Formats: sequence, structure tokens, C-alpha cells
Amino acid sequence: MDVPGPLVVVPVQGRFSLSPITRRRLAIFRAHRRGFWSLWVFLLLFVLSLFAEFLANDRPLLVHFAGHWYVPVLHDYSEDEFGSGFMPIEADFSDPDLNRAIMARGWMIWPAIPFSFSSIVKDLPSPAPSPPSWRNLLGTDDQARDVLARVIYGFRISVLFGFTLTAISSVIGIAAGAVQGFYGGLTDLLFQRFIEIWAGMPQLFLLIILSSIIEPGFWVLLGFLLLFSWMSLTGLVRAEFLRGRNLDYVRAAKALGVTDISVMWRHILPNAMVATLTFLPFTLSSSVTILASLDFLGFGMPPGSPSLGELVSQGKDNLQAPWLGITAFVVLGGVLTLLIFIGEAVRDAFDPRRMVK
Amino acid sequence: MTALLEIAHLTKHFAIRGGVVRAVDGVSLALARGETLALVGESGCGKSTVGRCILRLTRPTSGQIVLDGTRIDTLPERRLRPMRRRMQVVFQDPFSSLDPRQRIGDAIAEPLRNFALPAGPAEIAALLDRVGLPAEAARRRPHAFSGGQRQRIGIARALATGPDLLICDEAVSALDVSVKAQIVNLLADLQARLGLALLFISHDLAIVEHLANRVAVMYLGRIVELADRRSVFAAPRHPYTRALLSAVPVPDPTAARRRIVLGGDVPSALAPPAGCRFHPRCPAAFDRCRVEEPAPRIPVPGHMVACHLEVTPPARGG
Repeated sequence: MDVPGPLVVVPVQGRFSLSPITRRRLAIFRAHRRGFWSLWVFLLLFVLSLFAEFLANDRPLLVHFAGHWYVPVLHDYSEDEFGSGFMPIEADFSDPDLNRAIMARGWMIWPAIPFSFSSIVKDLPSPAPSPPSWRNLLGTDDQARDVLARVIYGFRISVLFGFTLTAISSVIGIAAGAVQGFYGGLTDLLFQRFIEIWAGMPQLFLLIILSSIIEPGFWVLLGFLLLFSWMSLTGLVRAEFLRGRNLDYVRAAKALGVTDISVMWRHILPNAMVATLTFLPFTLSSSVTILASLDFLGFGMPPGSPSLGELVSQGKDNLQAPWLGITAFVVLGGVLTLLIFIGEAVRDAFDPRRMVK
Repeated sequence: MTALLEIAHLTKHFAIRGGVVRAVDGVSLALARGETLALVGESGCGKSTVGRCILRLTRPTSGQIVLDGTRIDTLPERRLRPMRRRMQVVFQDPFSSLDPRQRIGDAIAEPLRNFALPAGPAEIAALLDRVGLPAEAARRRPHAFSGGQRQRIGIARALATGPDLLICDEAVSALDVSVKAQIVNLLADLQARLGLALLFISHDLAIVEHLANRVAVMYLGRIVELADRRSVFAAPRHPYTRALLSAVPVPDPTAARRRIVLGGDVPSALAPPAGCRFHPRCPAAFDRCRVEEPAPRIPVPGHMVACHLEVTPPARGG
């Protein structure tokens, strides 16, 4: 009954505590063991790869020389600081002469993998690509670079690229879908037709043409892929906004004179976010795949950059060196599998019909 | 009578695949300050569309809407915004008219903040108090409230900007009978205290009889009868109004009732019948009705009816 007066006292949540529905989603996510562990493994690998310079580098972490401390991993030093016999050029710590000079009057601490993604392993026992050894745990590629170091850097750049692409294309996609769904009518119609035409563009050929004009780098590639990737979320968000704009509380807000932007942001977007979040891990994994395939084809990152796609292509070119292909397969497959597992768990967590087991 | 709201020849047509739906087709009415005008009719007759046109939730096809001397139907949205403060709406469904994610205090403060009015806890508590809710309600979310309480919250939100006109779009239709009575009394009380003009859109004639000063009966996008409450209920002149009134339940099982049962359904607003729109279902239709659309007549002062029949209305229930 509707009796005005004291209401039943319900503990009021603080502004920043988790709402029951968020807590339920977290519980479902945790109950999804595979996805939960995948998330942790992925986060661990990602955080480790953020410190790639400290894990795999051709510069020592710390040098103690003639009573002075040097941190080559963070600073550049001139070679003549380590003896008058050297030239005033940037110090190359893998140079045996410099090495001997430093060791004579001090010591150095090297990263676990003493190679960077671009450093050439000198005095290999066999011609490159050389098989795994204690020095190069995953062997070297056909340009005598350490595969493990390249995998660490390549993983980082793939994931960072994926994250950036996913984040920006989600923002654009959500904004585009929101405008279409909220205003509907002619706006929606024209926008929909534009998307249909735009989506019909042959992306790969455009990219090939583009790469013959300018050399694609991280940002050029990102910008180019953004031109097309924003469309994946638009349909979903549009549908949510089409539904949302007819809710009474949205009408009430409009009648109250709340601006369109505020209505979209405050009242409709939170509903649309659930559907969007569910998609994010899958968008991320497809972004990683896109970058790898472009690198494989040679239209991706500039030559020399660490990339998983380039490793796949090396594996294909050097079938006599199976460690290349196998490493590329395991790393790329592993990353994508982790992301898919996380995505499944997120999807289940946001599924309103799912019960906590 | 200085009218607060004046609507003249309002039409709203919706273009759909296969034709044009004439949802509202030439509605004229006026509403004075502090007055309650009930807009009644069957589902689909265009009552709610009239309300939405006034609020500019949809743009009218043609006609004029004048709020307190300002013509608002053609104002650009930017200039309409300050006028929105003066007209507010309460919707039918108390479960969908509040954002489930928003705390009640924020929901009520939204219009205040929007117009840069003070929106402190004191103002919100005062608004909640006005609709009979405790100040603690501000910190909860809608799920903690019953339908009637939510409707009170909706009313508090509508009252926040101090409107002159409140449009109640079936505001009590979704509520239980006892709760309905409370909300109706609350509305009547608020109107008396704040001098609100109410446009009460409803299909519930019992409540209309209790609340309204004047009643406009709509059929298929037109107003067929418009008069003060007493004349509409005691001396209805339009056959449709009489049929509607005869369908109101009487809380007396032994009372002898003569119901006028209308055959068929409301014709499609896609292709309204020629002549009088009511003629296919009218028990008193004659040849003229099939060809000539009845012009609104004023047989007695203050009583408008659009019907060819010149009848002395029977006493109610007779």
C-alpha cells in the first residue's frame, strides 16, 4: 500500500560502493574459472611486457665503473666515459672490447635476456636462423635477432595497439550509434546508408595503396584501421538508443528541458554500455589479429619493429627452422585464446539470465 | 477567461509505410489557469499525442499552440527551453518514468540543475514533502518504492521547476484503485495550493468526474464534445459521449443499467470514414452523417458538440 510516512529502513549504499548488480556480475565472472584465470595470466604477461626494457635489452641494467654508477637502461652514455681508448659515440655494451674494459674496473648487471628486439646476436655458432640454445632460449630469426626478446616486445606492441584501437573505435562507434539511435528518422536513415557504403570499401586494397604512398607506422596504421573499425559497435549502440529514446524517463527528461547530450549521457548510455562492454574483449582480440595479419603481409609496422605477424611470416619463409613458426603460433594463439576466454566470462557476467552457481 | 494554454486546429500526422496516420486532426481547446481539463477517449484516439505535441516531444504537423501568450509550436528548441519550465508532464507507467540508475534526489534535482535553480537537500526535501514522501527517500533508487510512491516522485520531479501547466498522461491509470484515489487527491490538493492548470489525459471517466472542471471527449483525432463536467456527465449531447458514459461501472450490482454497446472497433486513423467519423458505429446515424462532417456547434453556452443530431439530451442513467 502506498502509505506516506516512514519507509522501511534499508541500508543505504555509499556513493562509491558496488551496486548489488555489479557485485553479482563480479561473482559470476569469478565463478567462471577459465576466464578468471585467463584474465590474471593476461594481466601478468601484459604488466611484465610493459617492463620489457628491463627484461630483454642489449644494455645492462646497472654498471659500476671506476667508482661511478651508470644506468644504461635509462640513459645513453658516451663510450669514451669508459676509457680514453674509445670513441665519443653511443656506448654499445655488447661490444667485447667495451665489455672487457668495464669488467676490468667494475661490474655490470644484465637483464635476464641480454638482447633487445633489434639487437643482432654476434658470433652465432650456426648461420641464422639458429636453433634454440641456452643463450637464445627460442633461437634467433633469420636476421640473427633473439626470438624471445622479439616476442616480448611484439606482444607488448600488439596488445597496446589492440587496446588503443579498441578504445578509440569504441568511443567513435558509441558516439555514432548514439546519434543515429537517438535522433532516428532521416539522420538514422542517411547514416545507415553511409555505413553500408563505407563498410563496402575494400580495406586491404586501400591499405596496400596507402603503404605505397607513405610508410605505415604505429599511428598511421591505427588511424587507418580506425576509419573502418568503429562500425562494429555502431549497430548495437544504435539499437540500444532506439529503444532508450522511447523510455518514459527519457521523455520526461526531454520535457524537463534537459539537453540532448545530457539525456544521452546520463540516461541512455549506461544501458548501452552493458552491451558494449560485453563486446570489448572480442574487439580487442580482433584488433590484435588485424595487426598481426597486416604485419604478416608486410603492410604493417615498419621493417625491424618487433611484431608477431612478422614472426609468422619468418616461420613460413624458414620452414627448416620450426622454432620460428612454433613460437609464433603458440604466442599468437595463446594471446587470442586468453582474450576469448576473458570475453566469454565477461559476456556471461553481463548476461541477466545467468545465475551464480 | 484568460487562457493559459490555447490550442487551435492542432494536427499531427505520422507518415508510415502505406499512408498517413491522422493521429490528431484539428483539435482546438483552451485551458485557463488553475483549471482542470480532462481529455478522454478510447485508446488510440490521439489524447496522448495532443499532450506530446504541447510538450514538443513530437513536432505538430500544423496548428497553433499558445502558452501564456507565446506561440510555442514553432519556437526553435533553444528558445523553447525556458518555456519548458512552465509545463511539465507526469507519465502513466511509474515503473518506466524514473531512471532505475538515478537516486530519487538526483532525479528530482535534474530539472532544477538544468535550469540553474537551487537544488540543495532542503529544496529536494521540500518537494518530497509536498508529495507526501519523507526526505530520506532522496537517497534511494526507484526500485525501493511502490508504484504509488514512484508516481509521487514523478509528480515531485514535474513540480520542481514550478510549472503553470501539468500534463498528466494517464497518470493514475496504472495504479491500484486505492492508490489511484490517493494520487488523484494529491493532484487536486496540489492544484488548489499551487494554482496549477491540469490537462488530465485519461480514459477513466469515474476519476475525470471527480477531478475535472471541463471535459473534452476525443474520437479518432477530433474533439467531439467539450463542456463543463456537469453538462457532460448529466446531459451529454454526442452519441459517442453517451456510449462512453454508459460504460462506466456503477458500484451497485442491482442497479438497472442500459448500456449503449458500440459495434465494431475504432476505424483506422489511416483511413478515417467520410462524413462524421463516428457514423459507422453511431446508433443514431442517418444519411447526412455519411456525407457531411458535422461542424462544431455551441447549442448552449460553454457546450461544444460536433454532431448533426439536434437532441435534447436524456437525463443520465435514464
